[in-house]
Amino acid sequence: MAFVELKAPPPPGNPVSEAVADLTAIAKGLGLTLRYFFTKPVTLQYPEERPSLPARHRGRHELERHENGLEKCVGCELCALACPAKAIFVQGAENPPEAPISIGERYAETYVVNMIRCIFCGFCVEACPTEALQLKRVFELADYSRESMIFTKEMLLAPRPKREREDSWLPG
Amino acid sequence: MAATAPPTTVTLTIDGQEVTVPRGTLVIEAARQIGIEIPVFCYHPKLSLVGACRMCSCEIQMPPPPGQQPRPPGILTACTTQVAPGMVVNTLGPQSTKHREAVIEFLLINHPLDCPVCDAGGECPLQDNSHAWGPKESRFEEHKRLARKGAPLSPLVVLDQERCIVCYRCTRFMAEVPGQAELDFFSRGFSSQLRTIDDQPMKSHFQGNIIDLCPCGALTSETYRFKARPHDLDHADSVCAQCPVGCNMIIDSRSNEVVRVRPRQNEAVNEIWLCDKGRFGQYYFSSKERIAQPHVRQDDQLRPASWSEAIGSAAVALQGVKGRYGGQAIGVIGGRNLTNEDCYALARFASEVLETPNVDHRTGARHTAANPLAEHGLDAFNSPFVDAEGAGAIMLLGTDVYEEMPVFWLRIRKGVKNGAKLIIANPRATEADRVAFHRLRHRPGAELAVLRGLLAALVESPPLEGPAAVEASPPAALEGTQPAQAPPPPTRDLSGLRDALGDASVEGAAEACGVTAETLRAAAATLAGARNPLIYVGARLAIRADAPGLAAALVNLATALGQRRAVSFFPEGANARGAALAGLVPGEGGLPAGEIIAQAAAGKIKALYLVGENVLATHPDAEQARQALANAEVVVVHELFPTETAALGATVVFPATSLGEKDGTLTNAEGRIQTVHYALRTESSARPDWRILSDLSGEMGASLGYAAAVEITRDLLADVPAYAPLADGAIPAEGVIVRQHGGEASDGTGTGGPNASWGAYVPIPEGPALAPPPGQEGLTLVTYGELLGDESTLQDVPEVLEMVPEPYVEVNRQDAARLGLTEGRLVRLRTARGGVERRLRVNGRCPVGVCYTPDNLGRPRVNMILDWAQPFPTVTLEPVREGVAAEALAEAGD
Amino acid sequence: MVMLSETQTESGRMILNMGPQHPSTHGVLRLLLELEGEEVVNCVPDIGFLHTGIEKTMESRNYHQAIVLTDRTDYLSPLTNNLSYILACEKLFGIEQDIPVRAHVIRVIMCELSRIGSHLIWLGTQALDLGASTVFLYCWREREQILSINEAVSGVRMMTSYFRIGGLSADVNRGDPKADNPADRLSFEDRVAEFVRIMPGRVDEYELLLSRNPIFMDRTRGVGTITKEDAVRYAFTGPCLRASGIPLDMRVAYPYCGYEQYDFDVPFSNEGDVYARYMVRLREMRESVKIIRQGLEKLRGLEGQPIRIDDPRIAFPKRDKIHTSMESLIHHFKLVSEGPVPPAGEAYAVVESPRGELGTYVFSDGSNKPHRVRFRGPGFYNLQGLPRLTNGRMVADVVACIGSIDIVLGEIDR
Repeated sequence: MAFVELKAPPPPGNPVSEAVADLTAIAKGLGLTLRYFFTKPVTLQYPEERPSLPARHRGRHELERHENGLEKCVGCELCALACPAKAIFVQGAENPPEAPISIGERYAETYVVNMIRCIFCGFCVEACPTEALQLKRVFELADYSRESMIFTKEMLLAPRPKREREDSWLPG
Repeated sequence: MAATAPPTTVTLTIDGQEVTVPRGTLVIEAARQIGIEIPVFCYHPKLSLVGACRMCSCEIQMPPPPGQQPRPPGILTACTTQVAPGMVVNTLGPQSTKHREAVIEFLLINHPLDCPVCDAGGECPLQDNSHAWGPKESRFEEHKRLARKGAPLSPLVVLDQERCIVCYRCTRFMAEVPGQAELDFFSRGFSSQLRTIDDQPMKSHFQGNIIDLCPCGALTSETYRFKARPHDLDHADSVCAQCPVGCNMIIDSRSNEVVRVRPRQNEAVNEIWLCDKGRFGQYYFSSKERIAQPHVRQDDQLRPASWSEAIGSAAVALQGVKGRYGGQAIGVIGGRNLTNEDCYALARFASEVLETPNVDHRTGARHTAANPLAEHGLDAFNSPFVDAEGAGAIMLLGTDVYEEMPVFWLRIRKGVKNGAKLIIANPRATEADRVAFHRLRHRPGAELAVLRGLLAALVESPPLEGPAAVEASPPAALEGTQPAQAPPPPTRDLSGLRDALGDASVEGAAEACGVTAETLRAAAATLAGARNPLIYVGARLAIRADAPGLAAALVNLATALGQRRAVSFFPEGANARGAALAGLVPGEGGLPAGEIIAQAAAGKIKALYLVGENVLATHPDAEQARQALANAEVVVVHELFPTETAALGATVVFPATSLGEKDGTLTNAEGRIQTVHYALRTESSARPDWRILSDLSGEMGASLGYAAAVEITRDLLADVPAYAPLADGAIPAEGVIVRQHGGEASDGTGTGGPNASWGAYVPIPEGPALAPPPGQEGLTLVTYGELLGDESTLQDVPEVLEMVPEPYVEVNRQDAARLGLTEGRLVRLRTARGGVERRLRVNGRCPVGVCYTPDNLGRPRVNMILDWAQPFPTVTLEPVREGVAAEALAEAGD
Repeated sequence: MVMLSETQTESGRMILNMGPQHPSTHGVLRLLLELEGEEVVNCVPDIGFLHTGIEKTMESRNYHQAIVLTDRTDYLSPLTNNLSYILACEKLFGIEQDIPVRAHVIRVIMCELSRIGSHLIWLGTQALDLGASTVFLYCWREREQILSINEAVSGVRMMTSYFRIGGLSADVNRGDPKADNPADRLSFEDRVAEFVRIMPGRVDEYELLLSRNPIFMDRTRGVGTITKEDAVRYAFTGPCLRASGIPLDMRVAYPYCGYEQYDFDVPFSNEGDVYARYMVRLREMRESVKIIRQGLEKLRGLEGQPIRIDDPRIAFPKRDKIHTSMESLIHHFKLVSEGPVPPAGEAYAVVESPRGELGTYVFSDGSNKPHRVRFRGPGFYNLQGLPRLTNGRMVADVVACIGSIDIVLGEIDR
C-alpha cells in the first residue's frame, strides 16, 4: 500500500514542440479509432440477434408444475410476504381432493403479479418453499396498457409437461 | 395475635432484577410483571395448570437453609412453580436454553412440514418459539408420525392431528370455561389423539375459542381456511352486535372482505372469549345478498330507484300522512341492533321531523316504560358483568342465558365455580341447568307466582340482618385462642314486605306456578343466605303484559335480600340499552312497538317507519304484522337484506350499511358504551342509517344536519344525561358504564338512595293470566330465540348454517308417548291461526304439558301461529306425512 | 443570493436555468447560473427532482426487503450501496466478525468491478461532455462486460441486490463448458479473469485518446480548481478529495471486508483541477484491477467455503434443508415473512464508493423494520462544492466541473 502522487504532464517548453506533441496525440488517437474500424463489432443487432442470457437471469415469473402436471405452488403467500414492492397477490383455497390442483391441502386460487410494480429482485423465488416460482429468461415485457401488465395465474403457469415451450426462441 | 401471620408478598430475583409479588404468584407471572416473557405452549392465564410442554423451564435456585451450602439451581417449569422468598430465577441460563432447545426438537420431530399450507403460519407460537429458541436444523431422519389431517371436529373447527403438540389447551378450555367437555385426548404419548366424545361433532357455542388458544396449527377455522395470512389483513377494533353482551372483537378483512373475527381482550366484558355467532356470524358485512340500492314501490312492485328519487318519494309520502292525519298517525320502530348514533338520529328524526311520539325499539312491547324497574329508581341492569364472579347466589329468571347472552354465561359460570349457587326458574331445562343448585320448573307464564312464592318464603323465615351477618361463618379460629361466641345477629324486619305481599302464601304460589313449596322455600333460603345475590331476568319478561308486576316483585325480592341493585333485566337486542338512552322509547302519549303494529293493523296508524326491524318475523303475531303492513299507507324500511317485510309491505326501501362499515358507539346490557370502528368500505350505494335520516330530514325541510357519525356522538353525549360523564367525548378503549338511575348511591347495601321511596316495599300489581288454564287439550307452547337461528345474516356462512339445527319442536317423553309421536317425526304445530311444520325432538327438557320451539328458526316463523293477545298458546301436534308437498297437505288439513 | 424564481437580478445579471432536463447535468439536476456575460458569478444547485423517499420507504420494509432500495440510490454502483447498508446491519446484529471469508472476498471483487464500471460511466460522459464521443462508446463496451458479470452472478445487470445480511444471496456462478447457452459456459472466475486481463490495456487506450489530447487538456487543466482546505471544508470525499491533495480512502482508513489484506495504491494529486480528478480516477481503475486479481487468487483458496453465516435467526437456511428439516422450514418461513430482527440499537458503517465515503446509519427499535435509515452519500457533499468550482469561470466550464465531481442524483436526492 502506498500513496502515489500523480502529476499532470509538464507543458512543453516552446510552441513548436507543443504543436508537435498535440498533433502526435491527436494522430495516435485517430490511429486507435482507425484500428478498431477493422475489428468485429461488439454490438448486437437486436431484435434480429438475441442476447444469450445467463441461467440466473431474473426475468418474467413462471409458476412451475410437477412432472405429473400438478402445480408446485401451494398458495402459501410467502412470495407475497417477501416482495418488497408488494407486487404479488395470492389467495389460497382448499385443494379439492377429487380433482387436485396442487400437492397438499392448499392451492393458489388467485395468483397475480403486477409487472409494473415488480422490481425483479428475485426475493419471491428465494422465498418459495416449493420451488414453484421461477424467474425466467424472458425480458420483453413491455405492453401498451396497465391492465395488460397484471399477470394472472393462467399467464404465469408453466404449460403442462410434454408440450412445446412457447418461449422457444430462447437459446437452448 | 397477628405477629405470626406470614407476609402477603414475596421478593425474589428474576434475571438479576428484584421483584416483589403477592404470595402464590407463579414465577411466569412474576417475570411478566417486569417485562420478561418466558416462552410457553401449554400455560395460559385463563386455564388451569398442567405443566405439559416444559417449554417454560428456567434455572431456579432456592436460598440454602441456614448453615448449609447452596445447592445448584434446578430446572423447574416457571408456569407451575410459585414464588418463594429469596428465590433466584434465571430464565436465560445455559441449562434452561439447552432444555428449551431439546423441548423444541422433540416437539418438531413429529410435526409435519406444513408451514406453507398451514393457516397458523405467521401467527404460530410454535413457529415463533422454534425460531427464537429451537435448534438450527433437525437431526431426526426417520419417518414422521402420520395422523388425521383436515378432520372436522365440527362444521366450524378443523383438526390436523399431525400438527398437535398435546398442550391440552383446547380440552382444558372446553372442560373449564364453558364446562362442556366435548373434547379429550385418547391414547398416550406418541399416539395421543384429540377426539370429540363418541366422535360426534362438537355442539358448544364456544368452540371457536379453541382455535385462538391452539399454539400450533392443529385447530384451524373452517371459515378462515386458507383465506389469508395474518400479514395481509387489515384490522378494525369493533364490538359485536349479535347480542347485548357487547363482546369486543377485531374484524380482520382482506381486499375489503371480512375474512375472520377475533376476540379483543376486555376483562370487564368478554375477557378473551367470543361465542361462535360473534366469531363466525359476521361475514354478512360483505354478503352479496345485501340490498345494493334504494327501491320504491310502483304498481305494487318494488323497483330499483336512485337515492334522490327514493328520498324524494319517502319525503312526499311521509309529509302526506303527517299533513292528513298528524304525527300521531306515524309509528317508528327500530334501533335495538343499530349504533347509538343511528338511534339518536332516529329519535331526533321521529320527534323533530315526523313529530310523532310513537317511537319504540322493543318489537312486540306492550308497555310504554322501556325499563320496568325505572319507576322503582333502578336501571334495567344494575350491576357490572364482573359482579357475577363474586356473587354468592345467582338467580336466572325466564332466560336461557346460554342462548341469549352466551359470553355472559361464561361469567356466570365463573361465579358458580367461585361458589355461587345457581337458581334457575324456567319452564324448560336449559344449558345452565347442568350446574344449577335449584331448578324451579314453573308453568309457562307463571314467573310472577314463582316470585310471590319466594317472597312468601322469605317472610316465613327472614334472612339475617346486615352484610356482615350474611357471611355467617365466624373468622377462622387462631391457634390457642377460643373464638368468642358472637351473639346471633337479628333477622331482617320484613313486615313491610308482608304488607305488600298481602295474603300470598308459599303454598298458594306453589299451586299457581307448579313448583313445589319445598323447592321454593329452599331457593329462598339459598338466596337469603348468600352474600351478594344477583337476579338476572330474561329480556322477554320485560315486554310482557305482566312486566310491572314482575318488576315490583323483583324489587321487593332484591330489597328483602338487602341488595336492591341485585336485579337486572337482559335487554332484547344488542343495543337496546343504547336505543333506550338515545330516546327510542314512546314519548308523551306515544305507543309501544307492539301497540304501533296493533294500531296499524287496525288502521289507526297510517305510516310505519321501520329501521332494521323485520316485523313480519319478529312481531309476536305475524298475521297482525301482515295486516299492519297492508293497512298502512306508507311503510319506509331501512334494511340490509331483502326481508319479507321489505318485500311485502315497503313503500320505500333504503339500503343501510352494516355495523362493519360504520363508526359509532354501542351500549351493551350493563350500560357500557363502547366504540366501534369501521372495518370495510361500503362498495354498494348503501348509506348509514343516520345519513339516510339526515338526508331525508333535509328533504322534509327540517334538516338534522349531520355529516359524520362523530358529530352525532358528540351531540348524543352532550344531550343524554346518563352520558354526561363522557361529555368531553373521550370513551376509553374498555368502555364506560353509564347509569340512568342512582349512579351516586352505590354503597352496596341498597338501602339509602336517590329518593324517599328507595328501599321501601312496593305493592305488586296483579298481571293478566298468561298461561292457559291447566287441563286443556294440547300443549302450552313456549318460544325463545336461540343463538344460531336461520336469520339472513348467517346465510352466507354455510359452516354456521350446518350448526343451525333443523327447525324443531321439543316435547316431553310422556307427551310424545301419549300422542304416539317419536323422535325425528315431522309434526305440525297447530293453533287457531294455522300450523307450522317442525321436526320433533323428544326429551326431558320440557315438562309434561309444555312444548318448545325456537322462534328464530324455520320458515314460516312460529309467530305465524301466534296471537299477540295470547303469549302462551295451546297447540296441538299432528304428524305430517313426509314426501308429500307441504301445500297439498296444508290444504287437506284446512 | 439568487432566488430560484428570478430570471434577472437587480444588477442586471442574467439568470440562466441549466437543467433539470439537460444532458450534461448527469441526471435531473437544476443549476441556477448567475451570469455576467459569459462569466459565472454564482451557481446555485437545486436538487430534489429525483427525490424518491428511499430512506422513508426503508422504514416500512423489513431489514431484508430494504436491501433492494439501496440499489436504487447510487444506481451506477449498486453493489457498494448494498455493501454499506449490509455492513451497517451486520454491525447492528453484532455479526460483523462472523461473516465467512469467501463472502468478503466476493464482495470485494464485486465492489471493485462496480467501481470500475462507475468510473467508466464517469469517464465516458465527462469525455462526451467535452466533445470526445469515441471514449464514451469505448467505455460503454467495457462496462457491458461488468454488467454481464453482474447478471451472471446475481441475475440482474444493475439492481443486483446480491449481498445479504450475513453474506451473499448465492455463491458465484459455476461455469459449464458444455452448456447449450453460451452465457452459462463461463464461470464467474473465468469472466472476471478475462476482464482483468484486458482492462489495463483498455485504460491505456483511454489515456492515449485523452491524456495528451490538446482539446481535453485545455478544457480540464486549471479548470474547476478547489484547494485542499476548501475540499475539506465542503466535506469532499473520494476522488474529488484525493485530487485536491488529501489521500483519504475509506478502504485504507477504516478497512472493511478485509481490504487491509490487499495490496493497492491510493493515488492522489495536489493540483485540484478537473484534470487531476481525471488522473486519479484512471489510476483507481488500474488499482481496482490489481485488487480484483488478488481477490481471484484468494477465492481459489476458499473453494467450497460457506458464503453465508450459519445463524438461522439472521440468514436463510440452506435450500435443500427446508424440504426435510422442520426447524429449517420454520426459520425460513419466519425469515421470509418477518425478516431478521436485530436488537435495539444503532450502527454506522462506511465504505469507499466510487464517489467517496458512503455511510449508512441504521437505527433499530428492536422490531423487524428499521426505525430509521440514513445514507451519507458522497455526491451530496461533493455537489455542495460545485459553486466553488464554477464561480469565476465560463459557462462552458460548468459542464466540465459537473462531470468531474461525478454526481448521481439518485444518491443525492434519495
